[in-house]
Amino acid sequence: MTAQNAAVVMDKEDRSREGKYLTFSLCNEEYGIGILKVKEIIGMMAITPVPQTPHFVKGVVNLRGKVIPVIDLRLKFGMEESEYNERTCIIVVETSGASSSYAMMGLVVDSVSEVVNIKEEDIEDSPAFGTRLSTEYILGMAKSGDSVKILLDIDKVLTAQEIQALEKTA
Amino acid sequence: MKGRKLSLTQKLMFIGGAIVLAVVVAIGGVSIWKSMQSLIGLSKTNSQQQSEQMAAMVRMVMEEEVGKAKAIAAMGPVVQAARQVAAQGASGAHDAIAQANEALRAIIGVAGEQYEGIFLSDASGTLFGGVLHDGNTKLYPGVQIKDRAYFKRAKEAGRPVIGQVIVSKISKEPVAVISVPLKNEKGQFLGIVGVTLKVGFLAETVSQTKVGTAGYAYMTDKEGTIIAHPDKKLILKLNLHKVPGLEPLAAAMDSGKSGVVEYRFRGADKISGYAPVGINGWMVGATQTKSEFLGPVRAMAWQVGAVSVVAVLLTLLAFFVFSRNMTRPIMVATEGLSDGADQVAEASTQVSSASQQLAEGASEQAASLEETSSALEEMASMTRQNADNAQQADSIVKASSGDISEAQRSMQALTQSMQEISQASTETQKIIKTIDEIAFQTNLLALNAAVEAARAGEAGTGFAVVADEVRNLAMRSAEAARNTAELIEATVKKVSGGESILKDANQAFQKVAEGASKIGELVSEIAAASGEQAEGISQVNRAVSEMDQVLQRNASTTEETASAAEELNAQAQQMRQYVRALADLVGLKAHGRKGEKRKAASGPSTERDVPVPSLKAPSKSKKGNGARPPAVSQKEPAQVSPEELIPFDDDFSEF
Repeated sequence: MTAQNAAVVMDKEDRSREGKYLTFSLCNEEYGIGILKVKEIIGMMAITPVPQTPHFVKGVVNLRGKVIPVIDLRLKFGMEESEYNERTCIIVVETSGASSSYAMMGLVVDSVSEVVNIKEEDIEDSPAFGTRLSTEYILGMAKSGDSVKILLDIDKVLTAQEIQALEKTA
Repeated sequence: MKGRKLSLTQKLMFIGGAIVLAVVVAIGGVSIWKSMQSLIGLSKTNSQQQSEQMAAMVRMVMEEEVGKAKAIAAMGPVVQAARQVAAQGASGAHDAIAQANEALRAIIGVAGEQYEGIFLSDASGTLFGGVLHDGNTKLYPGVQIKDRAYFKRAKEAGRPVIGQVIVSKISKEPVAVISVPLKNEKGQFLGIVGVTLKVGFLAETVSQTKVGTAGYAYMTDKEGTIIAHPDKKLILKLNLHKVPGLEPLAAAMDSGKSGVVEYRFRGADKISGYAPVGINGWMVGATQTKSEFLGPVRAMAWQVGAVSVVAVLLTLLAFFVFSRNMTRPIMVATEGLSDGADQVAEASTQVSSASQQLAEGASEQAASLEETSSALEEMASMTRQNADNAQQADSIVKASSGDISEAQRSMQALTQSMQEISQASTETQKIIKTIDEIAFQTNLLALNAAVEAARAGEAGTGFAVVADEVRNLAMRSAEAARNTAELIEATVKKVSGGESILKDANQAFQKVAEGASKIGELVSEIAAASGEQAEGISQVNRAVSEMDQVLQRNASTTEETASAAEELNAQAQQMRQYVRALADLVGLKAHGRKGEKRKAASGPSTERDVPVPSLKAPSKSKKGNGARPPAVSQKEPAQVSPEELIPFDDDFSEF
């Protein structure tokens, strides 16, 4: 079921990127994640670091009895690290990794903005920066007013190995 | 001027000689005069006494002769003859007459030369007998003598009479007849016995008498005719009354008293003692020529004269030597005085000019002092103002220090309230934070709800709306909270800024307070200093006024000095004249010597060659405007005397 649903979603997504997105900010840039990928949004809580993990993996948290890995998107995206504050949130997403099952993981973002409905015509493909640069984790560029929101394909943000590693961690 | 040219030596000699001469002459004259007087007195007394003695002698002689005549008249033959002639006439008494003549001849022979003859007359005055001294008896008989005065007087008086001196008819010699009346027993006048006495013997007797050394005696009758005199030619020829110049003598002789008379005869002063004989108004005189008995006096006068001349000569010599000795140092002193006078004149001129400059300086000083005084006045007033201002400032500062402390207190209160505000803000911030957290949580919840609603699909659409609304609310509250937080933060910031400002202000106030107290001290010090300064300035002012007084005194003193110098100069001039006078006096050739000396001593002293002003010069120069001797004015024409500075009336007289 889950795989089917995911496929449906994938199809839908393939067909139309129109829908609701949860927007958040990272380094003053707005990013969006498809709302259906979002499981829950929680405030920052104590992260237990886990050794032997990549540097962008901050550790794990206990979310109502469930241990989920938390990665810092800033670090993941190669941005400079910043301290966490009260605005810093952890977005719990369900990833459909290569290993099959939906894995839950927390993404540390600077702040959570809102849930917006973005229409198809407002979404453009990510520009081709060159062959070497991988832009596959970018779903598209959503124009909102004068600014641009980068819509992320969260499943591709983390490679399968990573997800696996994370799953192992979890 | 000639008298002035006499040197001291000459003067001294002149005066000394004069004094000595006067003294000698006075003493000699007095002694001569005294001795003359005493000689004259002596001679007078002598003359009188001698005349008196001679008068007495003559009277005695004459009385003796009268006695002799009486004796002749009493002789017997004479009486007999007279009686016979009276009784019988001449012819009848021839024998008696012859006897009488014999007797008379005998008498004459005894009596000698002094009788010319003795004759006898009858009562009628006709001679009947007589003998001449040579024994001749022929001449007398028949001669008539009744008109003769001696006959008449003898007949009338009945006693012996001495007749006047007459010239004898026989011998042509002066004779005097002594007639003795012949009387009979009854006292009847019978005639006279006449004894013709040659007066010549009297004259000899008298003239033999030497009066004094060169005097002689003489005799006059009552008519003033000379009857006895050493010069026989004068006898009976000279009448005193008839000789001009002998009036005093004649008058004296007429007086019939004894005395002394002075007279002048034949160019010679004489004195004559006189005395009455007592017979017929005869007078005996003893005369002396003054020049004769004053001979010793003359000799003495000559001696005195000689002594005088010697004394005068000695005096002159002594004075000459003495004055020479005396004038030498005076000459030296005169030269020194002359130099000194010149120097004094020069010095006084210098003093005058110096005092002049001093006076000018003093006036300038006075002007600047006045300026100083006025400046000091201004300074004093400004200082007083300063002091007042400083005091005001002091009081203001003191008042402001109170204000400042009050301000400090309010500042502290303000700080406290600010702190309280800050605290409250912090608490509010916490609350706001809480609210914000709540809003955040609510937002998260709303987002989660939206996520859930989106997951729910179509069924969650309403829920999504609610969630959106909730989120909106949460956003709004967050917004509000943020706004509030910002506000609060701004407030807090402002409060903290205010606090820091307040702190600064507080510090500033503290500094201000310190500064104010310092200012107060300084101001009070300034006030005190200003007061002292004012005091000092007033003291300076007093000093300046004293200086002014001193200056005034100085100026007056300078004026006095100038006038004194002036005086000194005049004195020097006068001294120069005195020196010149002295030089003249001691016979110093002042100019010549001076000139030589000057040339020898120093070259360019021009004033020396200027002639020394004459004695009239000072009065002239005093009358003139300069009151300055020509020498000085020539030497230093720049010199200005105070009189020249002040215009005189003389200056205007030129217009």
